[in-house]
Order: sequence, then structure tokens, then C-alpha cells
Amino acid sequence: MRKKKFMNLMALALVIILLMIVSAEAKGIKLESLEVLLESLIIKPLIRGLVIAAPIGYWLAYQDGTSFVKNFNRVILYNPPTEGILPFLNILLKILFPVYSLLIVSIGFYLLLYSSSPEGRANAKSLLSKLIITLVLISLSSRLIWLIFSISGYLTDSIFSLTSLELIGEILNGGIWGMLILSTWLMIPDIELGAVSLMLVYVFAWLPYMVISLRNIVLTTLMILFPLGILLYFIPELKSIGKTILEQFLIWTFIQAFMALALVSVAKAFSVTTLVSNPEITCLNIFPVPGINNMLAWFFTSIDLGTTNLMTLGFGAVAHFSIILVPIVMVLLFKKFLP
Amino acid sequence: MDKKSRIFTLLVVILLLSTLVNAGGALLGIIDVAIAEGLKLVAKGWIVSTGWQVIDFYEKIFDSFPLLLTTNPPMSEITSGMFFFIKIIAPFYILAIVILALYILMASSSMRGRAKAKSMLTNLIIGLVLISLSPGVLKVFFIISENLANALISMGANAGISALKGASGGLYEKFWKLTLIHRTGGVELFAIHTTLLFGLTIMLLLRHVMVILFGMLLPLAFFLYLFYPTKHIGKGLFMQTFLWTFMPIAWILALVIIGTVIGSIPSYIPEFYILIAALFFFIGSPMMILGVGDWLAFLVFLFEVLQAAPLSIGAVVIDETMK
Repeated sequence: MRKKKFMNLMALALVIILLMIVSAEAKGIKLESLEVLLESLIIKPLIRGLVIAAPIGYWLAYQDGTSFVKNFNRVILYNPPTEGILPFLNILLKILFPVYSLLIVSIGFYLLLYSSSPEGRANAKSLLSKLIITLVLISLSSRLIWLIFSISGYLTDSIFSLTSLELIGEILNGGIWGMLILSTWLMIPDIELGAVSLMLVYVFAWLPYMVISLRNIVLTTLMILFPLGILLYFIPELKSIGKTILEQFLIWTFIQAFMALALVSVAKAFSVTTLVSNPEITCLNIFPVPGINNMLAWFFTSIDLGTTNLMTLGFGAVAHFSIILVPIVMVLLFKKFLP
Repeated sequence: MDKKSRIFTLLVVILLLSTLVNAGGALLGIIDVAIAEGLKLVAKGWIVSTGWQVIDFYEKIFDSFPLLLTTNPPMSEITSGMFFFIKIIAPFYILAIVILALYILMASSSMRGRAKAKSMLTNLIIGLVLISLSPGVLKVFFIISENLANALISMGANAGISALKGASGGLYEKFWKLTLIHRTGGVELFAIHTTLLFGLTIMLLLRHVMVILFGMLLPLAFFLYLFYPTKHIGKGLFMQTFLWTFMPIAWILALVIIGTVIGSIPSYIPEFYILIAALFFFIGSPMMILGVGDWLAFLVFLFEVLQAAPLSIGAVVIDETMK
């Protein structure tokens, strides 16, 4: 009975407040408090949760947001097809064959008719052998590239076998989802607060792919230049150019092995490192209002957006950054190794 | 109550309510402002408390500082990787020794060539010993680094850690005060603050990863060091292993220095500025103390990456041709 009375009283109060609002509106008074209540505390936070965070979560869970996380081993193992260079190789050979014939014939003439000193003859002979070696190597260059790619691919595959791929996947997944959880938690009260972490979500989703795509583009370019590199390497005056091309080709090829090694190291470090306190952060109890909170929590958990901790987030970020860092370190460490 | 008086009461109530509603509309304007300001304050409080949760989340890394700085990853995790690389190197090693032996036996014509080959053989054998000892070498590195770290950390590194915490607390204080003045006033400060704390976490965890990575590559480093053309690569790899293992020493030294400096700052200098400087010093300390890379190294990094990019290869080719 008492409860019924209370409910009646509440209903009356609500009607009076509504009537007051209507009366105020009729008098042309704009209610700022209502605006603030809806804008800062209910509507806009809800919109941010449902229109910004949730679609990004959906993008990560069901679309290409976590494509790298799901396919990292295949993506890292991928090498551009060697058949791609065949048209370029044919053009190069078409240009080189007349030049080669001319060079061989002139060396032959030199040996037969003009050579007077033994030194000159020895030089001509060594040039002839170099020409023949380069000719063979250039004709075999697509096979050579295939061989180098196979060695690198095999090495990468064996490095991946040093730890479980599932663990690496989990770490990468933890990094990208952790960042989204953090940015959701921050962006619900104020969108600008979550800007840095939201940007990092995109960095984690795109940058590894960008680095790996850059590798493929550079490698395709170097594959086309590879036969030319061999030719230039055997000409003493142009050796430095040939050396640069061959070195860069080898470095960019073996970057995949080092990316795998970096990920394996992250997985190993993740499984042995401990923190004194490993705090958790969640985006499930963001709203102070229980009803809205439950609704959002149901929505977020349905797309995996729940809780993260410092270890998972930190190592996930390190895993993504190491993919980006490896080409830089490799290019810096492994330069000028050809004689 | 009879029917008449009931109707009368109802009429009075309706009259009163209509007056209240009418007056309420006008009154509302005044009450509204007060409520709006109150609600704005609630919204700001929500931002501040959310910010605090995240800062607190990141600041927990300070508790793990002594543990992360004084320990290295266990050898068992690294040795499996080391043996993997030793397995790869072994065939090349055998090939190198066989070719050298054949050269000495058959192909060497000059005394000089034979002597060179012999010294190479000695190098190879030394390398063989070094490679098989590489887990031990790394273990020695770890023991020295851990002992040094433990000795240094007891010299007052905790004061340094509290200084860093103080810097973080100071930044948060500025953030909440600015946020109370205006909703988005402290956003930039918050971005810098979280980036710094996140960067610290990443650097500390990355060290453990790098120690494992370069530890696994240590046999390869010794192998590459033995051959003249690849000597600088081997040296580079070895240096990287050394630097990443001994990086905590630089950090702890920085913490001790920070702790000492904070204690001797005159009172008229605002402490917050010193604390912020200490935070930056801690982040930059491996570069300054160990010389991991000078401050210009980043530009060199960028240049090297650009040089390796396809377009720059064209530039290098042209450059080389013009020489």
C-alpha cells in the first residue's frame, strides 16, 4: 500500500516537472540543464559508445581490422611471385645478348691478334670468364631469386616453429583489443581523451601491413633490378651499384625471418616476464546508470570488447612495434656485407 | 468527506498546481542554470575520474620497476633459439673448414696464402669454441648485469622511482585542474602524460624482448665476426646484445642520480619542473649513458630507411654513376 502511494507521488512529481518544462518552453526559456544532462551525460556518451567504439569493435571482430592478427604468419611468409620479373628479364636479355656477343667477339679478336703482353692476355681472359659467369647467372636469375626466397621462407617457417603460433596470435590480438578497450573507456566521457589510444588502434591495425607491403613493393623492384645488379657487380667500375642492389635485395628478403624472430622473442618474453602488479581496465562498467551500462556491457561482450591488463596491452603493443622496428634495425645492422 | 468538499479540495489542488506550474516555468530559468552548472561539474568529474583510472593503470608499472630492471629473461627460453642458430651455422662451419683444409693441401701455391689460410683456420677454431660457449657468455653477461643492478638499486633508486611517480602525479594534478576550468582544457596534457607512461612501459618490456632476440642471435654474431666481410655485422650484433643487457644499469644509474638531485634542489625552485625533467632524463638515459644512439641517430635511421626505399635506390645509382 505504502509502495503504491509512493509510486503515485513519484508519478505526480514527474507530471509536475514535465508541465513545468512545457510551461518554460512555452515562455521561450531554453533549459540548459536538460541540454547538459542529455549532451554530456547520456546522449553523447551513448552515441560515442554505440556509434564509434562499437563499430570499431565490430570492424576488429568480424572484418579486416584484425586481419594481420589472424594471418600474421602467412602474411610474413609471403614473397612476391618470381614470374613477375620474367618480362623484364627478357627485355634485359634482349639488350644484353648483342652487347655480350660483341664483347666476346672483341675479346677473342684481342686475344688472337692484338695481345702482346701476357698481363693483357690474362686480363682479357679473366674478363671473358667473368662475362660467361654473369651471362649464366643472369639467365638463371629468376631461379636464383626463387632459391633465395625458398631459403628465406624455410628459415622463417622454422623460426616460427620455435614457439606456438597461437600464443603470438593471442599477444597481437591482446594488443589491438586492449588499446580499443582503453580508448573506449576514455572516449565515452570525452572523445578527445581517447584520441591517442584510438589512433594507436589504427596504427596497430594498419602499420604492420604497411611495413610488410612496403617490403613486397621494394622486393619486387629489387627483383627486377636483380639481373642488372649481377651484371654491374662484375664490372669493376660499376661494382658499387651492383653491390648496393644485391645487398638490398638480400636484406629485404631476409627481413621476413627477422620479423618472425621478433614475434617469437615477444612470445617468449611474454611467457616469462612477470609484473609486481598487473592492473586491469575494463569498458564494461563505464556508465554510472545501471540500465544503460548493462545494455552497453551486453553489446561490448558480444564483440569481445571486455577487459584487458597491463601485461597483455604492453606486450601486444611491443609485438606490433617490433614488426615496424625490424626493417629499420636490419637495414642499419646488415649493410655492406658483400665483398 | 462529503461530495461537495471533495470537489472543492480538488479544485483547490488544481488551482495550486497550475500556479506552481506557471510560476515554476519562470523560476526554472534560475534553477536551471544552477542545475546545469552542477551537471557540468558532474561531467567534468566523470572525465577526471576516467582519466585517473587510466593513469593509475599505467602508473602500476612503477611498482614493477625494481623487478624489471634487476632481472633478465631465464636462459632456458634463449638457449632453444641459440641452438636453432647453431644448427644453421654448423654446416657452413664444416664447409668453411673443409674448403680451407683443401686449399692448404692442394691449391695454395704461395707461403703467404698458406699462412693466411692457417690463421683463418685458427680463427675458425676459436669461433667454434666461442659459439659453443655462447650460452655461457650470455649467462655471464646476465650475472654481471643483475649483480650490478642489484648493487646499484640499493643506492637510492627508490627515491628516483618516487620522483618519477611524483612527476606523473604532478601532470595529473595539472590535468584535473585544467579540466575543472574547461571540459577539454587538460586533454593535451593528458595525451602527453599517457604517451610518456605508455612509452615507459613499452621501453621496459621491449628490453626483455630485445635481450631474448639478440641473445638468440649471439652464436650468429660470433660466426659473422670471424669473416672479414661480415665482421662489422657480427660486431654490431654483439654490441646490441651487450647494450640491451646492460641498459638497466643506465636506467638505475639515472634513478640514483635523479634521487640525489631531487634531494638537493633549493626550495624556491618548483619541484614539479624538476620532476618532469627527471622523467625525460630517465627516458633518454640509455641513449646518453650507454650511447645506444646519439640524439641525431634518429635522423640517420630515417635516412637509412629512405635510402633503402626503391626511389632512393635510383638516387643512389645515379649518385654512384656520377662519381
